[in-house]
Amino acid sequence: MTTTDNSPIVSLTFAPTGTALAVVSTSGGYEFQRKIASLGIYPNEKLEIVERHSQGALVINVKGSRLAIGHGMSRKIKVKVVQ
Amino acid sequence: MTKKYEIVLAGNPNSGKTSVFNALTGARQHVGNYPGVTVEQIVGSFKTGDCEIEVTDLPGTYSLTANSPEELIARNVIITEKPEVVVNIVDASNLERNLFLTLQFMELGVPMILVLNMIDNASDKGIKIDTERLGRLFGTRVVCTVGNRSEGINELKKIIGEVVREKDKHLSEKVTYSDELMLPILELSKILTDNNSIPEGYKADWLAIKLLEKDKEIIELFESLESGKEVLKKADVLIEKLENDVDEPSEIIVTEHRYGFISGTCREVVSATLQKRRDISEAIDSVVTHRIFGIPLFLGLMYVVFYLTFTIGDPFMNWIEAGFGWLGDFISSWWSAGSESSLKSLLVDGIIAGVGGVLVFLPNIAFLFLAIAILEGTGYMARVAFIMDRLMNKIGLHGKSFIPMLIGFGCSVPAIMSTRTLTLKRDRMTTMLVVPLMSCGARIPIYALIIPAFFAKRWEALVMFSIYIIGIITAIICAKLLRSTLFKGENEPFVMELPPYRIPTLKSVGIHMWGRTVVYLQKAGTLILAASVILWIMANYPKKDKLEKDYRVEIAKIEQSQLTTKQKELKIRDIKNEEMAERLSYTITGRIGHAIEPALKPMGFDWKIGTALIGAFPAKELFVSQMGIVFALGEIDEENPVALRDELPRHYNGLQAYCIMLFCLLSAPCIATIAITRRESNSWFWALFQLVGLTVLAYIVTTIVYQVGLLVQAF
Repeated sequence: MTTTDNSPIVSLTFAPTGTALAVVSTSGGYEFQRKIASLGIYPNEKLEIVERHSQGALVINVKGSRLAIGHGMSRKIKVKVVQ
Repeated sequence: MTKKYEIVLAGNPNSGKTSVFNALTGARQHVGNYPGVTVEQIVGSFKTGDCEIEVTDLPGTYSLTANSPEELIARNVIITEKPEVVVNIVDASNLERNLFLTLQFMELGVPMILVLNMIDNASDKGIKIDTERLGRLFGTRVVCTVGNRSEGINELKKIIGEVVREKDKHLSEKVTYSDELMLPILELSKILTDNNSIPEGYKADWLAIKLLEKDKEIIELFESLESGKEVLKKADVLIEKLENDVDEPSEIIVTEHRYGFISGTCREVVSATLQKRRDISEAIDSVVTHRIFGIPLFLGLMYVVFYLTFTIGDPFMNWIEAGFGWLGDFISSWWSAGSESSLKSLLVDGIIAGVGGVLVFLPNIAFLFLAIAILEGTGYMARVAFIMDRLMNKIGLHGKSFIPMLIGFGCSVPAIMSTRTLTLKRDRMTTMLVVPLMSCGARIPIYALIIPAFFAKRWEALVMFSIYIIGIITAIICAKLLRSTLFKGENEPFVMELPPYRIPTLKSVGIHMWGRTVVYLQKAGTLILAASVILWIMANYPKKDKLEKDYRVEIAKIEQSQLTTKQKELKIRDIKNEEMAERLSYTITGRIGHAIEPALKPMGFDWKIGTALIGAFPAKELFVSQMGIVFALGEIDEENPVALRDELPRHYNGLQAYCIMLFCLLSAPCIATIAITRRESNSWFWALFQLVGLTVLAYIVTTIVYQVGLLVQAF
């Protein structure tokens, strides 16, 4: 994947809250990837972290709906800040 | 002449699908299970013009890949049963995500009607949808509805009537993706057609897409075909080329193209006039899913639910009890007083007492179902699963397992039924098997009998608390054990939609509660009836012909004595009870009690406890009345067993008493629980596994506690 800007790629666990993020890649087996893709998490799609819980559990906004993501899942999603 | 047509309703979870279904069919619906799996199948019907339409409500899904049993069912129903039309319900306020499923119906090439539900929400958010244009792009009829207010439902019925009569005109448009993906699809599709390897009922293009997506079930289907291996090989070549070209896994490429198609469509038909603002749901969530307040808030709410369950349920319970009492008296009156008829005893002491003893809990169970339906309907359950996920993960379970375990403190039956929300079988089975360890409401009478009888007032609360804690700890250990042996595998990743909060309609809550209550009555009821008869036979046969004393003579003696009426009554009662106890010890139940006494010894139990335990199998709280019978105290009021409370300490010590409670907590769940486990797991094996497993566990734990207790006492 080519990136034109130079914002660093981080896992969702460490991404900032409240700013627009773009999904760079997902990992964790194709069933998991396909599952989150059907919910709207796939490369190049934008999302935003709404709330942060302990150990990387998150609530995010994506495609107009809110998703809760368990701890351990957020590190399988790599994102970068959209500038 | 009325013609019959079958259609299906499909859509995302939280798209308001069920409210549309309820509005269409009203109360004319029927809940069953799909064959072989325990996904609920709800079927209803309605009339439009001269057509009778039968509607199946498919499980809510986000996609039609083989990700979960629900998704598989949804697509297999469409492929194999070929409904006349798929009515696709989408949330109009969240069109982009919802059309992802719509697109997959189009890929299947089935006749479809698109229903833009919750259109009021969409306009509130300032979203305008050009329905005519959307219909033209997708080649389908489009209807706008507000399901929970029944708006647009009549129009939907009319359109369904029109479409089923000439369905060929309403085949949705073929989806065309950009060449990057379309070329491999067409190439693979051609290979399939040329090879003549298209299984019955499938379409070449759709199979091609599924193969490129690496769909597990379709790959397995081809592996079983003769010409399939070759197809799979060719598919692999195409996948590799595609992945090299785009530098992403093929299943992601397919997803991206689908969303690409959708955002293109949305750009043409949707216009948003308002900026997205922070809505009410978000405000509620900032409190409800708060990392510190979230859990206490939830526990408080559940306390209220349980409190209401038992306070509101109480008067109804008394009515049911009184009703069965009246029925028993009424049936007894068919026989002349004093006559001993086996049929009368079977009807009154066996069936009415047995079935009644369990049905008494119906108000509590129905109320718990109601509470679950309301909490589910508002969207709160999804939040609970999320805040509990981390904790549950530690014991190898999913956040969604928490709700069933909690409901288990009320009653195991609704708890086991609510494990349906768990998609992975290993999570679901583990939860189901350990739920009975949560100390349910029916065990409370046992504790209420024993604790005041054996323990000093200041220790009472602590003893009770320790029983509950032991149950929870045992459940945790068992869950861990099961997840690392029989149900091995990784934890299911937690990703869940948090739908906007809604006020559920009375109708949908009512239908939900009623449907589940009926299932409980039907499934548990028949088994309880059978068990009541068997246990009655065991407790009454063989009959002892020669009793040690002639009790009638003794009664007659008392009656002629100089005692006051009150004293006579008491004496006669004692004699009758003594007779009952003598007869009981001669019956099968009594004999089993005697026979297993050596086995019960390590736990500190005698044959009397053994006999009462067998009698308490239909429902745990029957233990109290059974103890009353074996101790020759006659009828025991479960609420206030004063006589028994005085009697027990003469026979047992505190350690034995504690062991009785412990055994009742851990051992075989009641018949209703076993019946529901059998239904929900779809196998007798797991139901019996639960029965035997828990009993063995109870035996081991109680024995250890008793033996260690003896040692401690000795020092």
